[in-house]
Amino acid sequence: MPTSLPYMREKATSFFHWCRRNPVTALGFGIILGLGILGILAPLIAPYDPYALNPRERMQAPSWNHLFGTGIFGEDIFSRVLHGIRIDFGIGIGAVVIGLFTGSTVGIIAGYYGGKIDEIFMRLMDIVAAFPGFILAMAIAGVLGPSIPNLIIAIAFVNVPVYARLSRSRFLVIRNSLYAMAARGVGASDFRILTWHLLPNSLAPIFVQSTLQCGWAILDAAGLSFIGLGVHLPTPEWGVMIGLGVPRIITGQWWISFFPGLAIAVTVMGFNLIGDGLQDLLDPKRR
Amino acid sequence: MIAFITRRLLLLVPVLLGVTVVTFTLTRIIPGNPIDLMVSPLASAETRERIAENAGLNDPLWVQYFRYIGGVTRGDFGDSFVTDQPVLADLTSRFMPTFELTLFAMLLAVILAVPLGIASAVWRGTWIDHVSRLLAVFGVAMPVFWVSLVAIYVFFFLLNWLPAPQGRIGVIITPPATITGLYTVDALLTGDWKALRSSVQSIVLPASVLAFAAMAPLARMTRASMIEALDADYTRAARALGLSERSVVFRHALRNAILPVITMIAIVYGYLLGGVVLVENVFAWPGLGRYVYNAIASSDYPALQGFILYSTTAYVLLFLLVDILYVILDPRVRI
Amino acid sequence: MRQYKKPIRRGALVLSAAVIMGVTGATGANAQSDENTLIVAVSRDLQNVDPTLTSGNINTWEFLTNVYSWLIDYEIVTRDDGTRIGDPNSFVGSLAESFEWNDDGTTVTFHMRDGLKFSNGDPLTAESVKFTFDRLFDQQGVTVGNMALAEVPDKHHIELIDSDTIAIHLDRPNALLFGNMAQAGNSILNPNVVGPHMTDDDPSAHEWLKSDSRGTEQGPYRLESRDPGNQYVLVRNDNYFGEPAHIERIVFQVIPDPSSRLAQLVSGAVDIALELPTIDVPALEQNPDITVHRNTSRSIAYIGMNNEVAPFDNKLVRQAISYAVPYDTIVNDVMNGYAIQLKSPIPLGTPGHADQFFVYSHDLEKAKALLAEAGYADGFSTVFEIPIGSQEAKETAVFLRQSLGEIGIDVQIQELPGAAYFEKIQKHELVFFFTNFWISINNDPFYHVYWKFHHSCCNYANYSNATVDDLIKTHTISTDMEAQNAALQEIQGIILDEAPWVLLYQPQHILAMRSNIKGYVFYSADEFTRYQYLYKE
Repeated sequence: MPTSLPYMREKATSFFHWCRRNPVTALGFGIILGLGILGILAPLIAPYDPYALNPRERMQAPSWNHLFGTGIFGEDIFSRVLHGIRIDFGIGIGAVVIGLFTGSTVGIIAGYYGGKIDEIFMRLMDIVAAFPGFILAMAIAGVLGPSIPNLIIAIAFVNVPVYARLSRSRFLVIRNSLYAMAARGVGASDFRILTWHLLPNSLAPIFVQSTLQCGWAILDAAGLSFIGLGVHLPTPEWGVMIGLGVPRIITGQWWISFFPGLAIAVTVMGFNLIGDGLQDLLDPKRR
Repeated sequence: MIAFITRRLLLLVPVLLGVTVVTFTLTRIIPGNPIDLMVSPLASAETRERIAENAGLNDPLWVQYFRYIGGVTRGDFGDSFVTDQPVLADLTSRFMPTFELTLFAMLLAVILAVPLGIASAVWRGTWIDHVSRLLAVFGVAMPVFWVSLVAIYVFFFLLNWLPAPQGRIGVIITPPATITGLYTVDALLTGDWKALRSSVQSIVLPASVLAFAAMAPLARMTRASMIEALDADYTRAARALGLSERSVVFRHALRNAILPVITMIAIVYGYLLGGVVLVENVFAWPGLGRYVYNAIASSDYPALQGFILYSTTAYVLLFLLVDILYVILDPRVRI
Repeated sequence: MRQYKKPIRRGALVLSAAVIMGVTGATGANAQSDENTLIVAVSRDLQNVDPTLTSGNINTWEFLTNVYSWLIDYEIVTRDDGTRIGDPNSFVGSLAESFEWNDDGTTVTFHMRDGLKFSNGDPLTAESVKFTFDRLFDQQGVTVGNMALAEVPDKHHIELIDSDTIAIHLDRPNALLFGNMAQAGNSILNPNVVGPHMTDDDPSAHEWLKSDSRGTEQGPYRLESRDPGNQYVLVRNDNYFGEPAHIERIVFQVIPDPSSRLAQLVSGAVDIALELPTIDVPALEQNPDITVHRNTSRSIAYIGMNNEVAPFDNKLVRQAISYAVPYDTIVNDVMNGYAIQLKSPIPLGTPGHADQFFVYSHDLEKAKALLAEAGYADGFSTVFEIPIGSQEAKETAVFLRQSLGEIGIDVQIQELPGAAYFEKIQKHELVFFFTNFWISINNDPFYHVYWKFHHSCCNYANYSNATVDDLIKTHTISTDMEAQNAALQEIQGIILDEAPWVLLYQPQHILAMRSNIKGYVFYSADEFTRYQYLYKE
C-alpha cells in the first residue's frame, strides 16, 4: 500500500520541491484553490445573506460590521463577493468547457478527415476569428438576452476557433506519429483511434490553453455584465456589482465597485499564473 | 509584391461576406421590433404598417440580406433607427474620437512596454525582469473598466487633479478647428492652448488605462522574442566577433525580434477594440464603443451591423497590413 | 454621506500627460459660461424632430417646445410664493392672438397675430396653419389621435377663413381640444421651407423634418447647429412674436451618464443638468452654488400586472402583491423622499383625484393570507421586467424582489433594452413590469383613464371592466360636472379594489441649475423647460 508514512513524506517533499522551483505557478494554484474553497464554503462563512437588503444601512464604508462596506441597497459587499466566486468561476469554467468541447470536436474532425471538410470547417473558423472577440461576444449576448447560460454561450462561441485550430494542429502532428500508425496497424477503428489514442495525446497543450482562457472568460463575462448584457439583478456576479457602484465613484463611495473588481483581478491573475507556469513546463525554451 | 497583396485582398472577400452573413443573422434575431423606435406609441396600426413597409421590414429575410449587401457595397449601411442618420456617417463621425483614444493608448503602451520587454530580456532573472513580469500579470488580470473607475476615484475624487468623465474635451471648451480630427493634435497645431489643456486632461485617464491593459502582452512578447534573438546563432556570432553588447542588442537582436512584436501590436490593437467599448462607457467618450453599446441597448440593427462590419473590416485590414509589413521587413519570407 | 468636493483645482498634472504631450501647467477650473450662453447637460441626442412623428424622448420634445409655437398655449400664473407656473388648465392665445367658441361649442375660431414671421423671415399666416394641419392629417402621425379624441377627425374640419382667421370644427362639443392642442405636435410649419421637401415618396417631408427645423421655427429659439451624438445648439429667434428670450444661445451637451452630468453641474461646467438621480439631490440642495427646483408632477410610476395572464388574472393575487410592496422603502429610499406615494390611478393634481379608496399597506401577513386564499399558499415564480438604464426601476425591482420573496413569490429581474421593452409594453406583452414614463399631457381625468384603463393603446395591463368602460364612455365629453365627478369616484373605487396595478409613486419633477440662473417657470402639463424665461444674474 502506498499510504505508508515514508511514501507520504516523499510525496510531500517532492511537492514542496516543486513549489520551490515554481513559486509563481504555486501561487496561482494557491489562489485558485483558496478562492475555490472560499466559494464552496461561502454559505457558511459569509456573514450576511448576499441577497439581503437593508435600506437603513445603505452605502456604509467598510467597517468590522461590513468588512467591504455596503452597497446602494444596504447589501453586504463582502458576503456578495464571496458568493460571487461560485457564479464567476461557474461562468468562466462553463464557457471554457463548452468552447473546448465544441472547438476540439471541430478541430479533430477537420484534422482527421482533411480535404474538403477540413477546408470548410477551418474557413468557418477563420470567419469567426475575424471578429474582434469581445465585440462578437457582446453582439451574441445582446441578441440572446441577458442570462448566465447565454453569457456562457456567447463567450464559448468566440473561443471556439482557438481550440479548433489548436486541436487540429496537435492532431495533425500526432496522427502521423508512431502510436497512431501502430494502432491502425492492429486494426483499430477510426473512432477508437480518435478517442483512445489521439485525444489524450493532444490534451496537455489544450489544458494549458484552457487555464489561460478561464481567466479571459471571467474577464469577458464581467465586462458584458458590467454593461448590462450579463446576469440578472441582484445576482452577486462581480461585473454587475462593479456596475452598481459606477454612479457612486465620483461621489466617493469607492468600496461598492472596488472589492468585486479586486476579486476579478485576483482570480484572473491566479488562472494566468497557472497557465503561464504550465506553458513553461511544457515548453522549457520559453523560460 | 503587388500580386501578393492582390491575392491577400481577394482572400478577404469570402471572409468579409461570411462576416456580413453572421452580422445580418445576429441582428435579425435580436428581440424587440425596431418599428417601435421609428413611430410613436400612439401611432395607428396603419401608420406603423406603412412605415414598416417603407423600411422594408416586412420582406423575407433573404431579400433584406441582399438589399443590405447591395447597400454595403455602395457604402450605404442603412439609417440608424435611433439617430435617424446614415450609419456610415454616424460611424465616420465617431471614428476619430476612438482613433485618437486608441492611438494614444497604443503609443503609450509601445513606448513603455518595448523598452521594458528588452530590459527584462537583457537582464533576465534580475529584479527588473520580475517587476516586468508582475506588471504584465497584473495588467492583463485587471478589468479595464474597473481600473478606469479606480483611476477616476483617485485622480478626480481624491486628488482633484483631473476632471470627472467629460468626453473628449471640457463641456464649455470649444473644440479646436479641425485639421486632423484629433483634438489634441489640432489644438497643438492651431495653438489653441485652452482646448489643448482640456483635451489632454480628458484623454489622459482613458488612454493610460487602455495602455496599461495593452502593455502586458506587448512587454511579454518583446521579452520572449528578444530572448530568442539573443540566444540565436547570429547573435552569438556577432558577440564572437567582438561587437559591443549594446550593438548586439540593438543592431542585431532587436531587428530580428521586432517582427513578432509588430504582430502583437496588431493583435493588441484588436483586443483594445473590445476594451474601448467598456472604457468609452465609463469615460463618456463619444466614440464607436459608446455608439455600439447604445445600438445594442436599443436594438438599433443597422447601427450594430454597421459597426461590426466596420470594425471587423478594420481588424482584418490591420492584419493584412501586418502581413505586408512582414514581407517587407523580413526578407526570409518569400512571396 | 460625503459632500461633493468643491472643484478647487490644484496646480499639478498627471505625469503621463506630460509624457504624452509635453505640456505642463495647472488644470485650471473651467471658466463659467458667459451670461449670454446657457449650457445644458442632457442625457441623449435629439432623435426624430418631426413634430408630428417624433419618437418623443424628453429632450427631443423639449427641443420642439422651444423652437416651435402653437396656436394656443398654457397661461402663466403666479403662485402664492411668487413663483410662476404654466397652468395646465388655462389656455391663452399664442400664435393666435385670440380665439372664440361658437355658442354650442362646436367651432372655435382663431385670429392670428399681425406680422408673425418664421425664423427665416417668411410671413406666418392662417394659410401656414392650414398647411400644417393638412400635412398633419395626411401624414397620420401621432397628433391625429389626439385630434380625433377631441372629435376633430379629419382635415376638412380645419377651415381657412382668410389670411388672419382659421376655424376648427368639432363633431361634438368637448373640453379636450385645447389640452390636446397645446403641445409640440401642433407646431405650425413654414410651407415655403417644408413644401419643397415634399415628394411623391415622402409627401409629408418627414425625411427633412426629422433631422432639421431651420427656417420653419417660429418659437423663442431656433436651431443653430447640430453635432450628432455630441451637442445641439439653439440661438435666439429674432423673429419671435413674443418677448425675446433673455439668453442668446443654449448649448445642449449630450452627457449620457447621470453621474457625469452631476459632476459637470457641481463643477460649474454646465448651467443646468437634466435627469439627475434622486439619490444625489440632497447634496445638491445643500450646495449654495446650486438651485434645485422641485415641483409636484402628475407622472405616475406603477407596477403593471397583466390582468389576462395567470396568476395575475386572479384579483386576490394582485391584491396580495399590493399588500406585499414596501411602499415606504420605495418612496423614502428608492426615491429618496422626492416622490409622494400614489394612492389613486388618477394622480394628485388631476381633477377628480381621490385617495380614500387606497387600502393597501406593507402587510405581509395579509398578503400571505390573500395568496393562500387565491390558491397559491406555496407562492409561485415569475419574471419582473424593467427597462435598462433606469436607476429607480432597478432599485424598485430589487426591493420588490425581496418583499415578494417573503411571501413565497420568487422573482427574477429581467432588464430589457429600450426597444424590446417598448415593443412589449405596447403590444401588452409584458406580464409583470415596472413603468414610470406616463404623464397625461392633457390634465383631464377622463383623458387619463381613457388611455390607461379603456381598450386603448396604453392600457398596458389589459385591464377590463364593463362598468368602468361604460362610465368612461358616458361621461368623457359630458358637461355635467357633478355626474362626471361621481363617475370618477366610482371608477377609482372599482380600480383600487381590483388592483390591476400596484400603485407606486408620483415623483417630483426635479431640475437642478447653477444658482445664478433665475426665472424658471414650471409647466406641469408637460414638464418641459421654456428656456426663454431663464436669465443669469
